[in-house]
Amino acid sequence: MPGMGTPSGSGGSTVVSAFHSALLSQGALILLVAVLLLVVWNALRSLQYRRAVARGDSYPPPRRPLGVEPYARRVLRLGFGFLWIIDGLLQLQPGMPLGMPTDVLQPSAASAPGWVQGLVGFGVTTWSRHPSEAAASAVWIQLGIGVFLLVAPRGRWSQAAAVMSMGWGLVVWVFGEAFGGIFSPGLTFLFGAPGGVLLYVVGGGLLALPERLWSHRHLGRTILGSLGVLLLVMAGLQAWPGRGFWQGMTSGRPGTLAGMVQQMAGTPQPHPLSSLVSSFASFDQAHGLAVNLFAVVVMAAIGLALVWGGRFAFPALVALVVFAAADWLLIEDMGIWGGTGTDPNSMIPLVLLAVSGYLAVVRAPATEDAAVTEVSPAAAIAAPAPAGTGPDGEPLAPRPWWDRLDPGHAGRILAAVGAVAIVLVGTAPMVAASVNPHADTLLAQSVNGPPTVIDGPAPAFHLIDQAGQAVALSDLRGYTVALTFLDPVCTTDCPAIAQEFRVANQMLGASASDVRFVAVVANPTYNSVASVDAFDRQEQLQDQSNWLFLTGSRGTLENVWSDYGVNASIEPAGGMASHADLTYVIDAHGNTRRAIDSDPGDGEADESSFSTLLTEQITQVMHS
Amino acid sequence: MRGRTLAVVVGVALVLVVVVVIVQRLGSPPTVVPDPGQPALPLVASTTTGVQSSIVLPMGHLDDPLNTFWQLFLRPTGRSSWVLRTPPGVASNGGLVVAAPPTGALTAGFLTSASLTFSPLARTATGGISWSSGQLPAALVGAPDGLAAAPDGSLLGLVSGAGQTVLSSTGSLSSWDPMVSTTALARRPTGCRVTAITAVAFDATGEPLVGASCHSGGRLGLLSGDRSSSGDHGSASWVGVGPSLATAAGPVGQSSVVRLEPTTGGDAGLASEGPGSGTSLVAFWGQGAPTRWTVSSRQPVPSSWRLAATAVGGGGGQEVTALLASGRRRQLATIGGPGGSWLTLPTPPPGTGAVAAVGPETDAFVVSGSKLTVWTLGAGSARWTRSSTITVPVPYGSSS
Repeated sequence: MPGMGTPSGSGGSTVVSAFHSALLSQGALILLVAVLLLVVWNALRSLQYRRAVARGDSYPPPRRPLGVEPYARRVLRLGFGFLWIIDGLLQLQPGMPLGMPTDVLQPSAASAPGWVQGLVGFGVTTWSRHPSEAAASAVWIQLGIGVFLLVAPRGRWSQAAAVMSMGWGLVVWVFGEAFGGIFSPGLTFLFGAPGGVLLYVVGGGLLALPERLWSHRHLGRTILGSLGVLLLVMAGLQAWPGRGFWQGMTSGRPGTLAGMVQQMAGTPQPHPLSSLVSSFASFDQAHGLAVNLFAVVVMAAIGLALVWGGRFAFPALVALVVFAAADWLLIEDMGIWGGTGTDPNSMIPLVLLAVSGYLAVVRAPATEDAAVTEVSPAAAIAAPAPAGTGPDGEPLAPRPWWDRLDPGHAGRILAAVGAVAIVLVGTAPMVAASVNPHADTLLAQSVNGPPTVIDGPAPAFHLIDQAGQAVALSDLRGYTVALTFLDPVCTTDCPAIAQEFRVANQMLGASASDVRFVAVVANPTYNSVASVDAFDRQEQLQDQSNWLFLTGSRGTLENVWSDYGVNASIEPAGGMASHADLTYVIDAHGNTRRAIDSDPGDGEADESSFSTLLTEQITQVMHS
Repeated sequence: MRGRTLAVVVGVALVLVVVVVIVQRLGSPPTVVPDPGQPALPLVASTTTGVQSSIVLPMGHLDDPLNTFWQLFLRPTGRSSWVLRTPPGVASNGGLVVAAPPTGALTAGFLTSASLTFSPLARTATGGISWSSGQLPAALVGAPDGLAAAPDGSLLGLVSGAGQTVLSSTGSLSSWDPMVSTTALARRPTGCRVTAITAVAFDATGEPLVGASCHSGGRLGLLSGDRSSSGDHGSASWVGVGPSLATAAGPVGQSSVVRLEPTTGGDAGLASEGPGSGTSLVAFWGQGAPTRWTVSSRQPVPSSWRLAATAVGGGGGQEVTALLASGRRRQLATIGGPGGSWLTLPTPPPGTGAVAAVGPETDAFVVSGSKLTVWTLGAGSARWTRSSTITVPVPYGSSS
């Protein structure tokens, strides 16, 4: 659910800087497109003006009546347009690049079945590996869709905006909301089910319908009836026994709803709001049965009234607005707080749909006569003027389409083109990120800082490898060497670093034959050949021909650690041996060229990022 | 809208509710059900031999596995205090087990945690002052007697794989051969239906011995092999030697060997029997050559209580002690040896997490973060007295 959790990922100033940088560069591109469109519009108007003067016509020409957009549709279009813009602005929060996967995507799928987690995992992986690009993309895509909906009121452009809204909404509903939780236990309408963005999808679908359908009450009745059925289903689920909603407390712990609300209250937000939400959580803990009974009865009553329609429709709408407002404030906690709140959750779009449906019923007669005119861009082009003669008596050539285009409509078309450009500016890096399996190097740099460029002879060593063969650094002349220090019985960082080396070897492709990946034991106690062999088998490195895991006597190792600044030592009382996570890149002549802090960070994305960084650095050294 | 239409709509809504509930039930992530073949055995254990007493217990933030570090304390015979002797160089937050033969070197094995998939080992012949290192090729099973050492240096290790697999070594800490597995023993007519191997030991003649969980069969899961046996082909040499657990009420169902230790007077151990976590405990002993096994009377485990820690040795050398826990309540039961009766000792101090039987005394260990308080109950005494407090430099955050 949006806004849950805390912005644990809001650190990482490197990533946030990259996010801002991506926003700026993409913003500059969008500005350029906007300027170009303005120039085109102005040029068009100038041409039209000159030709009108030449013809002796007035300019601008009188506007051809195009009919009026049905009021209900306009409310829906503008409402969802503004909602997308709000969502886009929320994506600007600095916690988004790193916080979105951990605070939003993963929690939404935490209790979902494996196949849902797999789908969401794709989104998590894509976002985690390319956080700044993904976050910036989300900003522009959502702003673009919002602007598109606002500036394209009618015709195919408007329908295109609606389809775009529907498509992106589906992407967010599947990968961001894990299908709104419909496959997870604990699903409840009160907390946003079946997903706020699913309602955006429905709204987009309605806007994509042929406009003539909005001129009849039937569509409005269908909308209200469908919402009524949804409320009845959700009331049934809310009342279903055994789901924990009837209990304020269970076994000394908050019940299902109280627990959810309490968690929301813990989200960083203005104090008065958290107090309000927290108070409701306490109230629900004390009166769980009454709260749930009230919710079930109200939802069922509103649902029935909406299905019944007629004179019940208006009271039902009013009740729904009041109920939704209370739920949005007290349970959904507005959905926008915590640094990673992505949207205002489900109640606002729900009310928007309901109001639109109601207006489609009550306002349809007033607009039916005017709205029968289906509008398309072609309709905005004035009908060709009858062939006539100019001032000099010569017959005039037929006017081209751009000359017949209504200036106001042309402006809206260009604005729509601009909105599409905004969406495309956002979509392109998102698509590129989703097909690029290698994480951005800035993740590793956000953990460890940038690699240090150095140049000096690498300290010599004489050790033995995992096969018991003697190996000296001088034996590796002619190869670029990636040298690190690993504890063979380490439980955390070292296996991760070994895997990073393995992936870097794969990323190098054919060039890997000119590289030696070398690790030196960094444990004063577990330094036998058998230990390094066990580690190699654990990490599936035993068959990698350019991998060497070197060891030696404790004294020999201590000299190597000292030469390379590793400082391996024993921790007392069951602690893992400690040592610095350092990787050196040594060129084919035996000179150290790079020193890289190689703390693998947290999670697969950081590790993948280090592999990319290491590969990049090795390649640079090989070709320098 | 007509009433009939409304009824249809409400009916459709109800059907949808049922469908969603069913989908949610079907889609719920699978809950982890413990393998009934792998009983949960308390790792907190102590052993007293003629040379020393040893105890393994967890310290640190016990509600946070990554910051729970298992510690080894030793108390040489004749000394009055315990000293910290956790082997260095490996994170102990996965768990720790110890093989303490009546004579010879003590061997410790680390259970795996995080990304480590094989178990490092450490051996000391100097009372924990210096250690040599090695490793098993796989992960030790979480059983207090999953590692055994013979006086001649031979070793047995119980690792995961094919249910559980016993590996043997003639002395090296790094060279291991498979000896027998649960899968192989399950096919043998051993007098009990083996579902898991839970302990390994050497008997008085130096032959390997395994303790097992049995689904049924009426006999205690004790099986004896010979050192030359290896792999599935060698399983033919394994024979059931466990005594009958049948009572006047008929044969018992499930049983699990929890402890199996060589002591100065032969082998001693503890088993649980009955469904679930065990409704009663029996101690057992093996003496003579060929080994003759005897079992004690039953010590009932009240419902909602669990076995929290065990101690073998002490007293006359064959004492078996069990610490039971239920919430914050503790209960200590002990039995001195073959022919003895279970005695309930005075209630140990609040928070007791481990016990050791050292000669005629019993020590209770209370852990609070990095502080360990040792309480002693003298022979025949009714009062626990605080004997020492040890502060351990628990390396919080070092291994996560």
